[in-house]
Amino acid sequence: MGLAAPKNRSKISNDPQNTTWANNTERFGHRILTSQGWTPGSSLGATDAAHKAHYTAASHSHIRVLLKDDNLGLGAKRGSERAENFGLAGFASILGRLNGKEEEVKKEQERQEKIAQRAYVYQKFGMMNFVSGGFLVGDKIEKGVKREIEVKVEVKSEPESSDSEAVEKKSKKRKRSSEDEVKLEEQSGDEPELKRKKKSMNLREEAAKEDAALKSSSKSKKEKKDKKDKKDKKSKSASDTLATDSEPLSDKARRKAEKRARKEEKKLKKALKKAAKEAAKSSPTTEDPSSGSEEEVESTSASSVPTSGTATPSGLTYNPRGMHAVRQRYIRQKKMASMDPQALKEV
Amino acid sequence: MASKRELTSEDGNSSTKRAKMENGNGKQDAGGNPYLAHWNDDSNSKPLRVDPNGTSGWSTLYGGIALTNNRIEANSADALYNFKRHATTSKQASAAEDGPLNPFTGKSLSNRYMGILKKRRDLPVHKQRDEFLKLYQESQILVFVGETGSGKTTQIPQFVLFDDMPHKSAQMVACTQPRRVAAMSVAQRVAEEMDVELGEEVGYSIRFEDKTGPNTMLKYMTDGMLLREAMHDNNLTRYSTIILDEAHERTLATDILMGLLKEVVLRRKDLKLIIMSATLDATKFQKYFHNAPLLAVPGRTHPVEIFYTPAPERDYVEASLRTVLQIHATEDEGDILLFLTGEEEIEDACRKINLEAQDLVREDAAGPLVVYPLYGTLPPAQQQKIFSPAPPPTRPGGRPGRKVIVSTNIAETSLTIDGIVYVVDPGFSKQKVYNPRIRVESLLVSPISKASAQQRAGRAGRTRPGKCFRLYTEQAFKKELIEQTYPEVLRSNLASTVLELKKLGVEDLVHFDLMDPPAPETLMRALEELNYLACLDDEGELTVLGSLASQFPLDPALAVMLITSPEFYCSNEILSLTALLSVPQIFVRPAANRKRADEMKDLFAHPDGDHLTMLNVYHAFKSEEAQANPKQWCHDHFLSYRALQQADNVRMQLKRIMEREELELMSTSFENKKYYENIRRALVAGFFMQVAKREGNGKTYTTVKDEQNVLLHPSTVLGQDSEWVVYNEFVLTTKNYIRTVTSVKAEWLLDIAPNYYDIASFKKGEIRTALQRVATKIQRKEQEKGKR
Ligand SMILES: Nc1ncnc2c1ncn2[C@@H]1O[C@H](COP(=O)(O)OP(=O)(O)O)[C@@H](O)[C@H]1O
Ligand SMILES: [Mg+2]
Repeated sequence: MGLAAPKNRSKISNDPQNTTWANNTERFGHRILTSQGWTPGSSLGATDAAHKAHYTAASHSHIRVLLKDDNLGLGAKRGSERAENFGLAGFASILGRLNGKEEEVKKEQERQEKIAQRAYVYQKFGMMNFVSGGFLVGDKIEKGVKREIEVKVEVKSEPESSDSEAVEKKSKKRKRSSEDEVKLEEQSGDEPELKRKKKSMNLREEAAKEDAALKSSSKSKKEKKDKKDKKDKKSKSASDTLATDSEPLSDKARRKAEKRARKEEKKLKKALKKAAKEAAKSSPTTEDPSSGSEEEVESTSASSVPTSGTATPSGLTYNPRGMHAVRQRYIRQKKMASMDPQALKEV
Repeated sequence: MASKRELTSEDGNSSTKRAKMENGNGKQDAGGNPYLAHWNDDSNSKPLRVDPNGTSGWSTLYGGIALTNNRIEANSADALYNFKRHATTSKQASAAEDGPLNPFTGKSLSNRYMGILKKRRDLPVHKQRDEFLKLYQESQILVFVGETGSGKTTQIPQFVLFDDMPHKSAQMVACTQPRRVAAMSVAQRVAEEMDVELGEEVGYSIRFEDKTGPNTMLKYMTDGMLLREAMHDNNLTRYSTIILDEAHERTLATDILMGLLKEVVLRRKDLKLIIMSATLDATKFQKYFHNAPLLAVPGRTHPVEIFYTPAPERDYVEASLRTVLQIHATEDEGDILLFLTGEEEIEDACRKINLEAQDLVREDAAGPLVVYPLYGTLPPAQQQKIFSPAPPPTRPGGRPGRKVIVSTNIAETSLTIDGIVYVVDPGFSKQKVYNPRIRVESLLVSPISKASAQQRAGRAGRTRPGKCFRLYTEQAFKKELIEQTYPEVLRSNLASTVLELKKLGVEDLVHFDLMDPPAPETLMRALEELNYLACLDDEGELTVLGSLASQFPLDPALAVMLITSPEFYCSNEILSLTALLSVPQIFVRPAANRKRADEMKDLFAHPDGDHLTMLNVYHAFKSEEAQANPKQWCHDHFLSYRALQQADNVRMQLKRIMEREELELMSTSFENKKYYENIRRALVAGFFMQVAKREGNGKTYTTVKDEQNVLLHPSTVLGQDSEWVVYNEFVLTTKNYIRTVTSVKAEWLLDIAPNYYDIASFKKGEIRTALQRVATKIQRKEQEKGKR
């Protein structure tokens, strides 16, 4: 997948080395090159070229590549748990229905529709989450933690913060400095929303856990995982519900949704604009781009993760921190749930 | 086993053996030039400038202003008459630009011109016109860097015109572009800026299309075209200044040209050379060109905020579509540029975005949206559409419209599209790779480089502060992307290039001064392929066949096949086949209609293989029945009308070269039993290095000599019972496939390519044994014949 000469990886064929050819010094090509003054091991090009220092390893040996024959995004790994994660939300609702919980499912769906009304677009396509990585000025990226904090504050202090779910989601500039903060907000956050989240959460878990008879998950783990998911929900509930509900909305609901979406959007834009302005103002004062050391960057990007658990509602959860393990276990459970023959029988 | 080199690919590749000045016998001259073949149709009406001294006399002829052309005296002497060549100032030029008469044509200037002129003077390069002129006048070579959109491509050549005044010495200024699209589009734009007709004072020249005329003084052209011209005129004497634009793209042709021009400037002290690049770090260029002076235009005016996804994406195409729609529904006014990897992916994405956008509009969730694709093989008229403004709101006061351009790398630096505020970058592009050991050249989707990512992001900041949405994590940007994209010369099969270099008179290939020399093994392979094809003799010298092959803008194997086809009495058919192999896939197989498409293909199928099947298609396409309504006919038969049309065009061009080189065009009578056999034998004459043998009775094949395990591509019409096959393409996927295959006989291999099939040179194994067996059989037969 990567043009990565130094890594020397090759998947080109069964015998990419073709050493028979490479080691044969009797060949025409070898002979001509040697006769023109080339010595094995040296590179071609003008003798004493002034720009020789700029030569890369590819001037010595051909570039190795990894083959890519899928649509996996950059950095996504094939065969990881993420693929399984995809679509499970929808599966959960089906499971629920088949289990005779129609009432519940229906209610849940209605609720979700309401949430969905916020943003027709998110509803339809799922929301893309982004985190800011700074500003491109010239051909350098300038970034600074300072600015990001300012932005965050700005967004939060928007008067419409009760409605701020969308703002939060949309706000790419938003960066949480710590998980605690998130938790705090959760506790103080609006109750109904929390409950709702729990509900849909429960549904999922039911599918995953209850039917599948998962005995192993210890309580503390579950709690952790719950919390984590809550967090995710908190920051992207609309998108999450989207993933859960793939059925089309009624026209009425749509119209409503779109109306609200527009309203929402205006607010959102205002917030964003303000934030952007703020950010632009503060960006020149941030540190030198080159001094944005690896570590600093890492910390910022890590801190941004809780806001956005998954990049898209369709899955691909990659969590670079300790949460990863927990998450993986959770997913494994889900996987088991859907694969366990017993669970299917019960369905 | 190089994959086909498409005639339609970005590298222009033809030569304009056109000489200068007025003089009657232009017809003959154009007739002699296959690349200008289309001039023949009406060459009587087109006056050609013919250099009475041949093409090499000019370098010594001028130093000051040589008024040699009546046209100039008549038209524009007034505005420029007191201009001293290489001693002008921006003030002088500005005055001339202000009119009222066009300094180059003498006609009065239009209002539109005045409007554009004002905009042009706002471009960043304009502030440095004097500085530029000073350096240009002082130095033979100049490196010029400035971000995309600063005005390099459109303005600098015009700055040069006013100081160099090439028309006064009957020369031209050339400005190369790596891409055909860019050459055409930019020439069009500059013609407008100069208030002249495209093809007159300003023209372009790309492979198979020459839009220049006797008055042309500024010529945009693909770098491949200039290289072709150099093959006929080693000193490029028709040019007074050569501008290598987009040098940072480091295409094969640009790299070779830099190597050549480095030598030419030593021979031609009057030639000026400007290297233009969009990457700000130009030290490498400077070092390479003997510390040439550097002029840098300061940065873009607006910052671009970069966004990353918090986690990797499962499906980058889907994610990009969602991002585009989300931007459309939620972000402020401003156009969107989405980078995808290839034609198919782009067309598909355009369709989907269109559908969804219509829904959005219906739901009134967003304003109107128009989507334009942009890729190299797009017809010019469609390419031009990307510059049309975004649609207006559906109703007064409604939400503003937006345009989305879904593009390959072309939009990265080659074309500047104003109004782009949002860039969506999934982080991939199609890149060529070449492995000299197994001789596979392939276009693969690969991660871009950091430099590319920054260029892409930069597209968003042209008109106002913008946003770039990267569909990968910051982590991935840092860890997965290499710093710079490798230049093409390190990623290509160099057989064609070596042939060109030989033709250009470069003897010492080992020490040819390239900015990045290729891996030694790559050069060896190229030499060996050319030697087996008998284009180079055993001392490495160009043969007659090699020289002839270099006349064709084709891969050497294809060229050799074409040149030797008269020996097999089927040059007409091989000509068609060569054209068909040089264009994009002719069979269309839409996902929704696979079965029907396959049934249609079966109508043309020839049991002996895909090459013959393609030929059947072409013959059917040329039939009266199909030509009655070719578009419909293609549609009905699941064939690409565009590709077949292109093949037709390429065939015509190649035919002209064959006629010029006196290669006989002939066919075996269709009734003759050997009709198809002859074609298959002719195939072997070019592609004997792309042969595979079936392993036992299984499905796997092994390539001859390189011993790679391959499978027949599922698209083949060939059954599983062919022991030996030639193939056109080695397709790299997780399984290795050979595509476009035709069955051949081992006897032919031994007979037609005895050097390559010298049994003693084979490794012990199944292939050697099989060949040995056949050889013995032939011997025995011959002995029997002798006895009788
Ligand atoms: N085809 C075109 N139509 C309209 N404007 C154009 C076109 N091509 C270029 N321009 C204008 O000219 C400016 C300079 O473009 P260009 O010379 O291509 O810049 P550079 O080569 O430095 O990237 C662009 O920013 C744009 O405003
Ligand atoms: Mg340009």
